[in-house]
Amino acid sequence: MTTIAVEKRSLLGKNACKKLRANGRIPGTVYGQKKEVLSIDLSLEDLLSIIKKREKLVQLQMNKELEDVIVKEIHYDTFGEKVYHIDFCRIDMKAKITVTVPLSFIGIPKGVKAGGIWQKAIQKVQITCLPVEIPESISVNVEGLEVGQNIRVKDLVVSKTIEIKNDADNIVTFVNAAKEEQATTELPGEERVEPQVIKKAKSDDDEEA
Amino acid sequence: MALMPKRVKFRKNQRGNIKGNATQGNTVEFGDFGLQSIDRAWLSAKQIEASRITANHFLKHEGRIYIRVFPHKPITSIPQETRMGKGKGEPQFYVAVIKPGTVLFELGGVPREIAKQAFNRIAHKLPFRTKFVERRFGQ
Repeated sequence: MTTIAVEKRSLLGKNACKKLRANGRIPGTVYGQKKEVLSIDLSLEDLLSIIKKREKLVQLQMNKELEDVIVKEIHYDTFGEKVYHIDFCRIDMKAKITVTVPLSFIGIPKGVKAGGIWQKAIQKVQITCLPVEIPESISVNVEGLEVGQNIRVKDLVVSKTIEIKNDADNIVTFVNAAKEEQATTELPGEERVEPQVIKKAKSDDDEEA
Repeated sequence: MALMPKRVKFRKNQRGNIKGNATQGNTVEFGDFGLQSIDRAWLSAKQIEASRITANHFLKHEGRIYIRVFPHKPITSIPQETRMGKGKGEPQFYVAVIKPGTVLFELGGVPREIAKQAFNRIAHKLPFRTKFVERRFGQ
């Protein structure tokens, strides 16, 4: 677990945050555990290291006090190049929490080589476990999948202490037979079709008039 | 038939102008990789169809392509050598209004390098600049 230094932020609002970002600091919030909501700021370098390592569990150091938190949300700009804000949620290290964890798919299914199309119905699952047991991702081995076969949530392999909250019968990934491509281009002799225009039903007053 | 709405409230639209960046549809949601627009423009149904065919031709039905934009906006034009007046022309084709940041296409079930090559081919069919994007951490 990485420890990052944060400072309490007294200046709030759009303009104060803009000035902070110009100085290489990123505004953030800490909440949860029925304690007060704190506005904080941290250095951009620390934040980028969290993003690079994809670390969910972090320790915040504020005025020589340590606090265990998870990264709840990161606010990026439209193009995903700049980071605007980060939300941390306080957690109790001895209590179970529910978090969303991405799935990582290992290998390429056999069915793909046989001409099938491999699709992922779910990219993330919700799990309940102790904070120290949160995996970076849950591995799904798809190498054995043939055309027409699928992997369901109940087939996912996780340690006994981790409970998956998604419906056990939900399909995670599947390989189905490739469909023939439908020609959607307009043929030369084909008539141009126009969309149907939605018309309002005439009210009684209009008819009387 | 190229993509077009099934039902519309009004047959013809005013041109409008494309302001600001995309605040919705600017993240990769369904696939693993995406193609994001950098510029603002109209993307015609024909261009979307050409992009789809190019991707399918390159990928040979490997992986799945998601089209995240739909041409809702009708574009009208009047015939050549027409005198002034006589009103607005007839709808000729439909376009999707693209703001900077819009994720146009997504691709899942293929390795990163293959996805990059596929999007590079799609980018040649588009009338504006695009960039390759991936899923973000913490969203």
